[in-house]
This record gives sequence, C-alpha cells and structure tokens, in this order.
Amino acid sequence: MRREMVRRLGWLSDEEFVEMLSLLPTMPGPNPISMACLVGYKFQGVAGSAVSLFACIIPAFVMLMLIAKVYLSQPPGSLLFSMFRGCAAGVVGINVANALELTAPYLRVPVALLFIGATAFAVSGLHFSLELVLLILAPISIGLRAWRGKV
Amino acid sequence: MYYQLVSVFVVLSLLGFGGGNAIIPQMFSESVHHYHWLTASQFSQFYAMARMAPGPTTTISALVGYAVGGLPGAAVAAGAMFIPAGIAVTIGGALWSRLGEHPFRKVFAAGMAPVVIGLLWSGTVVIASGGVQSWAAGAIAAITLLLTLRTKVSVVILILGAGVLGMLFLR
Repeated sequence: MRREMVRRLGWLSDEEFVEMLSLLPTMPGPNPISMACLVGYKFQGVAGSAVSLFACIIPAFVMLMLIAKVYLSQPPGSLLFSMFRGCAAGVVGINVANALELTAPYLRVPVALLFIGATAFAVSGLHFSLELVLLILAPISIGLRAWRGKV
Repeated sequence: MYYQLVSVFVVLSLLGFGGGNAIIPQMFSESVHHYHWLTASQFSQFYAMARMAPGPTTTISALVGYAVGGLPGAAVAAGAMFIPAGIAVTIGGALWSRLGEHPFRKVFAAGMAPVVIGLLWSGTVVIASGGVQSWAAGAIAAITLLLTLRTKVSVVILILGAGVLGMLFLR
C-alpha cells in the first residue's frame, strides 16, 4: 500500500502515511479499508471516502457471491463440499499460527499476557459480548499502559 | 430478516476496533447460536472463503447475508458491515488530525493490542469448532499450522492446498 500511494502515485508523503497509519488502531474497521477511506477523504472529502470504500469491497463481493452461489447449489456430500471443509480446517491452522506469532513478543510481558488470556477466557469461557470486552477489559488495559508510562 | 442482518452487522461494524478478526467471535455467536442462520461448519467454511478472497476477512458478512437472503441479503449485510465503520473512520480521521500528535494515540494502540490478540484467540476457537470436527481435519490444520510458522507460502495457496486434502480425506 505504501509503495503504491507514497512512491508510485505520490498521493501522500511518508509522514502523512505514517500519521494515518497511527490513527487506525483508534478507529473501528479493517485497517486497509480505513486507510482507503482516510486517503479518499483527504482528496475528495466524503465522496472520495465513499468511492474508496466501495472500490475496496466490490471485487471481493463479486467473487464471494459467485463462490456462494456455486457452494449453496451443491448437495452436502459433493466433492466441492469436501474441498471447502478442507479449506476450513486449513484456515484453523493458519489462524493458530498467526495468534501464536502475535502472542510471542508478549511472552516476557506478564501484564500483556494476562490481558490476552483474560480476554480470550472472558469471550470463549464466560461468553462476554464484544461490548463488554471493549467497555471493561480494553479501558483497564489502556489505563494500565498510561499509568505505567511505557509505550 | 433484513432488519436482523442490519442490527447484527452495524453493531459489529462500529465495535470493530483492532481489525476484522477481533469481531469474529461475536459474529459467530450471533449468526450460529443466536439467529441460527448457519451451522458452525458453514461459518468456518465461509470464513475460509473470505480469507481467500481479496480484501478484508469481514467480507464474510456478505456470505452470511447471502445464506440468509440471497443477493439482496448479501448487499444489506455487507453495507451494514462496511458503511458505519467507513463513516466513523472518515469523521474520526478529520477529528484526530485536528488533535495532532497526541501521546494518547500510542497508549491506546499499545493497550488495545493484548485485548485484540485475546479476541483473535477466541476467534480461532470458534473457527476451530466448525472447521476441525474430525481427526483428518485436525491433521490438515496441523499441516497448515506448521507451514505458516516455518515457511512463507501464501495464505491463499495454503487454504487451497488444504481444500485439495479435504477432497481426498474429508469425504
């Protein structure tokens, strides 16, 4: 994304790109889409933001609709169905690997590990809703960070 | 029906701090346990499709919408998923840039990170509940786990490869 927008098209300076990137964790939404909205807004205001948003979504949307149409037309025992069950199993392994890789840097940071574990337990074990997590656990975690003064 | 889709996905859209994967546990519990739109296995398969397609994983909203109400359902769910967050980001971006380089931003991001990773683990648990329902499926997951940690094979290739193994062993 940086290579396209900063170097090839010259839409943003490096500083602007980093600035926008640093905003993303403080806002809802998937990062690449949020970034597209911010860049769109910078150039054409609200209309630019809307155009960027749709441009990001439409290709995936069309592709997934085609897959869904084929998928739902198949009988449960079909070969295609087995293939998608294999895909689902595969994605589990990928997600475990990603979660492990993201957790690894925090292995020596007990407070962070505590919050990773507490959040996972609250959601998976106690069936906390996302609202509760964001209202209770997130503010405590952020508050502790601010209090300890380390970033 | 459309109202239910909108009510679920608008909330998820606005609560999606930390990217799309953080909202997977809630999306799963709403669409599988609460509304019974899909089975756990279907949800995991849809999730895999969304991971393979370009764009963010939250495009799974379109697949859930499609299962509920065909193409109109898909458009409604995707709109409810992406438009509120898009508006929030546009407004938020304008406000933040006026605030300037405030140190709170970094503290917020640093404090949120462990919570988001915890949500990621919970999301993995629900995807596994639908994706790994047999020893053979577990073996496929173990293979992609090792390949992700040890090699740089792309996610799309890994998922497609797992699909081929599925055709052979998950009959």
